[in-house]
Amino acid sequence: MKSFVSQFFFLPADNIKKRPVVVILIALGLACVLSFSFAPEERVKFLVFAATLIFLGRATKKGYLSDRALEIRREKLRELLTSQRESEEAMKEALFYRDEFLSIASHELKTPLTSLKLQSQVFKRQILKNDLGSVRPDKMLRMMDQVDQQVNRMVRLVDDMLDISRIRTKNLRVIKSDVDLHVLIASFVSKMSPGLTKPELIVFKSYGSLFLNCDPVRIEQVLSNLLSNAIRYGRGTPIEVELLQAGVEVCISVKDSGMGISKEDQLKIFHRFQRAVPAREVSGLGLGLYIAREIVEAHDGKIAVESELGQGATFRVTLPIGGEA
Amino acid sequence: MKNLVFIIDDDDDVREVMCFALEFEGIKTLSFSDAVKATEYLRHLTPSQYPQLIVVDFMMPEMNGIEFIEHLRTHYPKTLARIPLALSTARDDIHKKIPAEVKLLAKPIDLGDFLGTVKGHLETPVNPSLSLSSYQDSPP
Repeated sequence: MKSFVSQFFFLPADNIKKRPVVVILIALGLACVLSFSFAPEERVKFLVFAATLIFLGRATKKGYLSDRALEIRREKLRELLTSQRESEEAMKEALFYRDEFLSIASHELKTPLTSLKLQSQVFKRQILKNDLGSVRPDKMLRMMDQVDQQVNRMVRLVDDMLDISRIRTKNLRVIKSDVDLHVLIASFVSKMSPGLTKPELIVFKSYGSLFLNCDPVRIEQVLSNLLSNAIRYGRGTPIEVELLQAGVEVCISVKDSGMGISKEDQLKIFHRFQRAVPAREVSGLGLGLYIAREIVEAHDGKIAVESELGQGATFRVTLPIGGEA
Repeated sequence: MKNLVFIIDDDDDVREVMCFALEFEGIKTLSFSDAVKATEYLRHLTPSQYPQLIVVDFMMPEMNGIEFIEHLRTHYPKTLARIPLALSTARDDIHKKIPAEVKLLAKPIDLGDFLGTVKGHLETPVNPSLSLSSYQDSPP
């Protein structure tokens, strides 16, 4: 029947299904022809009845309305498939970064373990040789101090990983009190400087006491991260830490004149597991700036970077005094 | 120069403890925080001043351990490339990328493995009672 109709109207058979209007017109035409078999006063009723049947018929599975419904369903399925594909891509990317992170974390933990293992084995060897007396006391003290530092280093790595977990579950703890940032930063810089090859590397500029309601441990954490990065990427250039008040905000900046950060990488560095330098070249978890940003935002503040490749970088933290920025 | 080992590692603490471990065995050390500085120092040495062994870390900025080895082989094939090398790394997936004659020291480094590697390249037997030399971060 379908092929007869298509041949009659010079249409391919499959076009009939996709042209419901043609089918309706054909059906209405037939109904008009049939209506002449009724009495004139009955023809209108018959035509209305026939037209109703025809349209209802198209609303079934092979009808016009169900074609439209089918099209809508196809569209929804396409959207679902696209969404699923995007979710799969996002999951693959997340798994990639997780595996990359685990590899980097493993390396980062093995570094302090290397020092700890060698130190303990050296002292054990000296004890077994009954030769501890040959070790100068200042040397022994230095080594024991290093053992303590390596343990602290591992504690920081583990804490960073815990912070990531807390951030993900919205449980990052911030315990605020009134803190003199001038004293906090000066003390932190003076603690950090002796461990540097050039203690005068870090210069702190401040204009007197500046109180802020904040978590001092977390603010030190942010400062530690910014200074570590400045030392790592600063190529031995002087690092300037500045504290000042600008209106209702406090601004802490850390500036170096090292390798700098490209505009493209500036968009990535605050994200988890992202670094501007390939993982193979520089050690580090890639979490520092992400955690720093979370801490700053937990204080209703902002963190930003200004940098040109090869011309150093300035990281600027702004924190509101007594309320939102 | 007899019984001299160069240590190249960007981590200050690892560098210091490796030198410390060797100094206890009466072995002189010279350490560098990056491979570029080490190369620059090495190329000014005469063969009699070469160390008996260079222990280089793999993961370092600017030039990693493998790039350092390849650089010596490419630019100094008859001189510096002949100095015995050991590569220290926390990675466990790079053993296929290093030449067969380069000893791999897996971090955390075992002292016995480390001393065994070093002593195998020394010219003279080590006298443990030798006085300790002070740790040096960079060459004089």
